[in-house]
Amino acid sequence: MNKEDLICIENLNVKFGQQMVLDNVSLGIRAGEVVGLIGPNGCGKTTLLNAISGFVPIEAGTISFDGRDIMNLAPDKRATLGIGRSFQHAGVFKELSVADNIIIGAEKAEKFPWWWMFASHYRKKMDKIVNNTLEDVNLLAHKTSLAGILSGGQIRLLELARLQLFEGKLLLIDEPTAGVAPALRQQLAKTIKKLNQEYGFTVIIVEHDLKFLFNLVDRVVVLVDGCKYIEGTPEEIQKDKRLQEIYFGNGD
Amino acid sequence: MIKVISMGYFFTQLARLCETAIMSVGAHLTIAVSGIFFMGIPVTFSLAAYALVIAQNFGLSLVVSLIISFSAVLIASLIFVIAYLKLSDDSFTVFTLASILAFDAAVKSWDSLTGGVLGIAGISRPEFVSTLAKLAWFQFALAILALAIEQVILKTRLGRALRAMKEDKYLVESLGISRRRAGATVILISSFAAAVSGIVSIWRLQFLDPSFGGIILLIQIVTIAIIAAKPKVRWLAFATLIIVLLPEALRFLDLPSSIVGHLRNLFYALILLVMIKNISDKLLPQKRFI
Repeated sequence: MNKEDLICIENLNVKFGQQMVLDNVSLGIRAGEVVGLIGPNGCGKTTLLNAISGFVPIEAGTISFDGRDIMNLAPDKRATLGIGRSFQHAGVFKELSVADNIIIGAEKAEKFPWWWMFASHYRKKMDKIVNNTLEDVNLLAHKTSLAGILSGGQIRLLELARLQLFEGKLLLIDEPTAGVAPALRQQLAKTIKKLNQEYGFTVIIVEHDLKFLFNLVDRVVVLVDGCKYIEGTPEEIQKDKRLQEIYFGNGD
Repeated sequence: MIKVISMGYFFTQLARLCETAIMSVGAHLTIAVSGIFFMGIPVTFSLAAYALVIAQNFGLSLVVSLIISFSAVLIASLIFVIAYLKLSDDSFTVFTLASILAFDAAVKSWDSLTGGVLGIAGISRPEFVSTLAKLAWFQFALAILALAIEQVILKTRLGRALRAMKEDKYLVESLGISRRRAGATVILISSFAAAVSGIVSIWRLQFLDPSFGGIILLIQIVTIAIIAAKPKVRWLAFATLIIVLLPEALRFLDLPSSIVGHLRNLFYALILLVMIKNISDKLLPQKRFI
């Protein structure tokens, strides 16, 4: 770990009942990096994201973000500090309209006053934000529809579009390609790259589609049975025989 | 035998409608909009009325009695907020349901203060609502105000947070919105709306006993909240209108008065069944769940 790390995880243990889900995991991620988290199902990838965002109690270890200990902060406080999150099961509100899904993120990020809906200049400003954001992901035509009618891929795009507006430094993205058709994956990858390169987010991605992931990330961390097994560049990881045995099977 | 509709009857129904609308704002915001099954509304409804009447019986002025009444409601609602923050969703619902029974038992047993099962009679109305007509119009103004406040809440950040919370509390928190603060706020609003409704109701009835509030009232407001399934004020107004006025048809039938109340509850149950079985699928848009 070094002082330049945006997020620093040290000796992290998470236990569900008697089962140790994360066992002594340490990880440092520098600002501006895109890091992929891979490993077999049940190895603790999502739990690690949940621990960073404050959704699971931690047995032992420390997590600091931007030089600040965040162990005792509730999830909403961590988000306010700048840790954004997308979920394995797409994080949109299906009962809200597509526009409201953007507004709920934008009004917080833009620090609009609570009464902004009643002032025309704020309404115009918000309308512009919503239109631009939805246009970016080809969802403008669905602006007034309920988000629940969108397809799986469109829901992912809507979720990532809202993340663009997030006022923060770190994004935790959990399985972005889950349930998304190959044709839309390119657009997803483009959006994630944009989040990193144009919006300056540091990104941690959990993903099972390794081709998709290796084209996107600077570094890969492999978890096996709750422990950090290996980490390195995508090229190094692909060459590692131990990983091929553990993650892909031994080919028998 | 059809009874003749008098102005007194009209104002009584208008007042009942407005009292229910004020109280249902809280139930709508908690149950229908936020998905928080807060069942303690009848408690703050009755507590406000008892505190006001008891304070006035001790010779205190209306203003001081109102302050005492709202202070008592504030304490009760803070207890509900603490329960909301500390308990799981299911346990919170059971806790608030149990509070209705606990309050009922306290009122019945503390008869030196509350009049026990016999209640307190001869409650006078304040000067500015001295007649039923004046009271009904005052209540009408309060109901419009309550619905307008709900409209504002639904349009603002809090309303969006409450609607989002109902669907996914974790996602809401990941956006930096405090689910606890939003839930606590809506429980306080709900408690105070019920308190206002309790106070104006007792000015209409001028009699207070343990049957004021309780489970029967809860059935009514939960029915309204469920029928007004959408987070829209016009749905709430429509549901209140149906639930308060439709059972009135029973009054015009030659039925023994002892069974009219039970028939009204049966009517609410039937409406709920119809709503759940048929109407909700047709009125609420189809979404993808899988």
